[in-house]
Amino acid sequence: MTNSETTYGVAQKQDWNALSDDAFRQMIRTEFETHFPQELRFLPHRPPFKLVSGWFLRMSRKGWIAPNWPAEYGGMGLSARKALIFHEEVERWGIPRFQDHGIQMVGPVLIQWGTQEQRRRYLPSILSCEHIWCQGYSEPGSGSDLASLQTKAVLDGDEFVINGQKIWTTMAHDATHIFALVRTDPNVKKQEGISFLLIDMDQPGITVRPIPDMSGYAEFCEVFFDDVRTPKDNLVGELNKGWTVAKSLLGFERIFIGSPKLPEYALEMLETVASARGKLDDPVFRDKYVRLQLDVEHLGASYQHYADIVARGETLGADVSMLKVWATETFQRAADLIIETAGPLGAFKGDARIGNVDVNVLAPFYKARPATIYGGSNEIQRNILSKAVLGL
Amino acid sequence: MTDPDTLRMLEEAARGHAPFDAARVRGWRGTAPGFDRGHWQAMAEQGWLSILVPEEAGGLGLDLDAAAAVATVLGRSAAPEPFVAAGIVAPKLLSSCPPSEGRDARLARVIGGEAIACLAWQDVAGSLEVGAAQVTAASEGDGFAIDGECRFVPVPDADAFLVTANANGELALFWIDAGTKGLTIDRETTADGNSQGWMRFSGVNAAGTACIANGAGVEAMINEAIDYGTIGNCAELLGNMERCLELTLEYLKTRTQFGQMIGKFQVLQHRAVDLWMNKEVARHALTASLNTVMAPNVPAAGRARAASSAKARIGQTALALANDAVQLHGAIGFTDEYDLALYVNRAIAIAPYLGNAAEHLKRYGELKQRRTEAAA
Repeated sequence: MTNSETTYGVAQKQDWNALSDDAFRQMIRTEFETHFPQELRFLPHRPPFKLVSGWFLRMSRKGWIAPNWPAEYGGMGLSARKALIFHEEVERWGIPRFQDHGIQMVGPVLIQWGTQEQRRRYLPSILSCEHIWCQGYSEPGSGSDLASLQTKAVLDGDEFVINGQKIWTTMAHDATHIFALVRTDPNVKKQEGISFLLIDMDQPGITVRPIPDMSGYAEFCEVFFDDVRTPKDNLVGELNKGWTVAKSLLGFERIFIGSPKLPEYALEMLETVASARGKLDDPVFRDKYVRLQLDVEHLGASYQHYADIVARGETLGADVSMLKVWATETFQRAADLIIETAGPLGAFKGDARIGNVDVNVLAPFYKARPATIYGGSNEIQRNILSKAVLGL
Repeated sequence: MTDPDTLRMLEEAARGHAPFDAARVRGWRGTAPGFDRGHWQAMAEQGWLSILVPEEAGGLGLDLDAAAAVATVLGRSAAPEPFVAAGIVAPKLLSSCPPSEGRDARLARVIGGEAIACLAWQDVAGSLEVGAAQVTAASEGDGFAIDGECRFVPVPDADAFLVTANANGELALFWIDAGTKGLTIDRETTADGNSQGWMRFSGVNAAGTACIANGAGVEAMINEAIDYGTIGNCAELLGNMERCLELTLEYLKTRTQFGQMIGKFQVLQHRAVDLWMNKEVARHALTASLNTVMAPNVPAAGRARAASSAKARIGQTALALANDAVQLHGAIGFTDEYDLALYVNRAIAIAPYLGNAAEHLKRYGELKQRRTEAAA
């Protein structure tokens, strides 16, 4: 066995895939409902690691921190079908996403593209939550046109020297490491001069500046690179093949962003607000509300279509982009209708008293608003659909 | 649920037997009966009219997904044949009626294509409440005297009508043959050049055996057949949407302006994507509703909600897609000689059948609310 010298996480107690879907779901659900702290459910923002460290360390000790990784690398080794169930339960219970840059991005990339040495060096620290990763892709001049990125890495002996700037780097102020797309050849077609580098953030030359968003909370940051160094062993995949490495991340996880759970949660909140304000039988409200219920129901139907493809072990096509568009736009409609239904309370930030309940009326709005921008804006998704599905 | 192989074979056969034929569709416009009896006979021979009829009653004994697959293919070819009304609703309803020699013989004629039957149940205003039609059946000797009127009858040239009537205070279902003395049918022309019937009964004599169902359960039986028809109608509209979208995409790839194919303009690309996306959501909505309706022991309210959910979605998006298809074509899309017109007018004609999107959205909301209240 190739990994005999390295221990990755904890050994799995059993082959989870052998459980029935229902038994597996029930097991996950029981764990979550029993042990996840009530006060941390459905947080309006991504929490800093220290706020949720107790939970993730518990998952780490259980060997559940990386549901999607193969068991030989310390993951749960879940099939796509079971991984989907796991994710649905995470969302259903309003648990923050599982260290997604390390678990969802770096881990799978290293398992697919990394050297044995890279896996040994980085995977155990992701599993133990010692390393927290962030993703350095976007730049001030490279948003939707990501391949135009300019942050430069030049080989100097055994090290790359990196200069430039990343932006919209989610939770960079909470991360110990960053994986970045950098330009290593400026003289070729833009996609062909990009490399994928792993960089320790604890070094001079890295400056992180959080950017408060319009909700007043800072989830994303600017990251400045000023003669930052990283060993050349931290190149993942071949030199100048970073675009290919980054694109390989688009697996079945793409359907996560189209899950109906957030809009369903917003619908519940809408009903709470409407009920507290005596609007449930107002015909103007009802018309919008029922249309929204229908949109959420049919988001669920669409999600199920793609979940079934994943569960059958088939590969998702480009058409799955529609799920992101439909889900995020539905979520926004729900968030907007909550504000409208709240009337004068729609102006209030944070928890506000409506009837005899406290509701954070703007929380869904601030969560939904950027959803049509990140992860490939909905306009970019429409470009993709137009080209890849409609052949225009 | 129909097994996937059977479903695929049925769909392929349907595509082979019912290709789009613009000249044929145009040819039947404005005629009586407005569609091809020869085609209808061929559909019967394919077994399509008996899909929902149990095997012991001489049918294929398949499920609603199979009937929906055929309806979608017919929607794709803008076929004027009244498959949903006379190939889904009527056979489904007759299959639910208590078996008797009379019922069995009528059902055999219906699925054999010899007799086209359709449900006549709506009042002059178009209420969607079963029993709302102002038709009475008074006992008279061994039979009944039927009076009153109903409207929006989907096949005015049917051979027989399944008429809901108030028979001495309770709802009953009658089989009334066309041409019966005292029955007059006026046509109202629909957008696609077809027509619907406005039926008036004036002392129509019906034999006792014409009453094919009565008493408790009749209303539920009719509602079930209507829900099946609603979903079948959604399937037909889905086929219509598919073709409107295909025609539009072909046009965007062919038509050039400003020196390039118009499909290269991003504003049109994004609109086309939205049409496609709405069609996809409609497709998934239909699948979800079919799955609900075909599940064993589904409660009537759940079935009704599933039917309304699909129709609220598809009734609306089919018309919106048809409209946008015209816009993306430009002037040619508004002409009668371009085939898109056949689809647009067909969508307009069939979208209100058994309740349009707004009516079903309302019912969907009411049923959701009732469920929430029941849970509370």
